[in-house]
Amino acid sequence: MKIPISLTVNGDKYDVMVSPLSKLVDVLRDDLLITGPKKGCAEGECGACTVIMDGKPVSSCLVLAPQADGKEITTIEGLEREDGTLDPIQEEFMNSAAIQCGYCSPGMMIMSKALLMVNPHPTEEEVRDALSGNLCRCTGYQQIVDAVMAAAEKERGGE
Amino acid sequence: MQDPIYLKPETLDRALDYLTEYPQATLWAGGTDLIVHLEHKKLKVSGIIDLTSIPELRFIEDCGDKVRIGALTTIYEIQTSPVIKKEFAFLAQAALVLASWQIRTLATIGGNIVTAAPSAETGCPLILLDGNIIVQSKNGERKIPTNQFFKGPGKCDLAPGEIVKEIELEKLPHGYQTIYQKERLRRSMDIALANAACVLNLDGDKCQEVRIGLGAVAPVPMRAVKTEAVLNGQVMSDELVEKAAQTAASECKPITDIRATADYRRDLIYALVKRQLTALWKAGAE
Ligand SMILES: Cc1cc2nc3c(=O)[nH]c(=O)nc-3n(C[C@H](O)[C@H](O)[C@H](O)COP(=O)(O)OP(=O)(O)OC[C@H]3O[C@@H](n4cnc5c(N)ncnc54)[C@H](O)[C@@H]3O)c2cc1C
Repeated sequence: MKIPISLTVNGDKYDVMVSPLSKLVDVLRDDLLITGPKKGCAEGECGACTVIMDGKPVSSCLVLAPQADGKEITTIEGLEREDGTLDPIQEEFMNSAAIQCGYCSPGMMIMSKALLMVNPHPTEEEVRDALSGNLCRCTGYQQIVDAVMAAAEKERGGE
Repeated sequence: MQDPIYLKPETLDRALDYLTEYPQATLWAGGTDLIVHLEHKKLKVSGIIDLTSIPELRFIEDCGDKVRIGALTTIYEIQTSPVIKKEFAFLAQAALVLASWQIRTLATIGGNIVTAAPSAETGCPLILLDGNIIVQSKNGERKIPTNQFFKGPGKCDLAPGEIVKEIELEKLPHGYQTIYQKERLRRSMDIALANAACVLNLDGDKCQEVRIGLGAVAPVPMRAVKTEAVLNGQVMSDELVEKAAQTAASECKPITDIRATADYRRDLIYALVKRQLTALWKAGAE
């Protein structure tokens, strides 16, 4: 039996009918057509499906859809500001060439956002720790870490 | 496949009622172990009792001589709790290296102990502390000493109809130091090849009391009693630490599996125990 849930994604409220065992990542991608979060391993190993739920990063493949009822979700689509300007994290990922195939990028950027929300002045070590649950198979991690450090710097400059 | 029934109680009483009504239903916390089992088709779910909306099960409370931790407290909350960092630094250290941040937000301490993996991150710190796992059923409450809760790989002292409610832990006396470390192949997302925890109370260089826990090297997180006997009452020295590390390596009972051989795990235990004793000894001497 499907059950009704309502959740807010990137500021928009949605009402959906979900099966109890469906996962948040599938609801986002298949029902709401918000395809930023990628489904990599489907068991919490790769970090590609990371979203921010009620202010904290989670693997959306490990959240049952009914558990997302009443929650506020931010995906990569929600990082862009209302006036259309990109988040410094997005800009710096481009500037640092931290993207190759792009599959891990939404998860990487969301995780970086989650880090900077609680720690606006991270050390490189803290960035590596925070991103250690996100796998990238193309670029290696250096450019990604550089991008996050640059974004943190930029946000600080704007304070 | 028929959809399972989904229940979301908001009180423990209500959850116990549901469990009586649907004894086959799965108790669901962070789901970080359950979804993996589901994906691997090792789990059939006929009903879900979602425990994550029961506020009375999610808290960390300092009660003077004790600290109480609700079963639904997340690993992230434990990692960042000032109370846990102050009273049981090694439990916060263990939480910090469990899986990844996006899993620690979801994973609960109750789920970690009920899964009862020999490598469970919270296992070693918990068995070294005096305290109880408190479980509740329709028939009342039961307290299980932390060092008797784990029964085997995937097995713990939890009967059908029971829900883990909280963990109550006695604070350590003043001057006791703690440490937790894990050895793994990757920086994140990797369960331990071996892990170890240590509680040490020194008087100058004399070992007044030591407690050593070893993980992923026996069917349950184990207390290294022979190693402790080598150290208790003795004056710390490099030779003593060496002897203790060798004793730990020989008294653990590791197996060979896909991650590492038994011999390699013994080597890791030797290294971990040596490193931990040395670190606490040097820190204590400062
Ligand atoms: C990619 C990945 C990496 C991981 N790495 C680690 C690691 O490094 N170290 C580690 O220790 N673990 C690791 N885990 C395992 C897991 O994250 C932890 O064991 C976690 O603490 C489980 O908690 P949970 O709330 O998600 O449990 P759930 O999956 O919700 O439940 C686990 C079990 O406990 C039962 N249960 C839960 N709460 C209660 C309760 N209150 N009363 C009675 N029964 C209950 C459930 O019915 C189920 O049988 C990893 C998992 C993944 C997916």
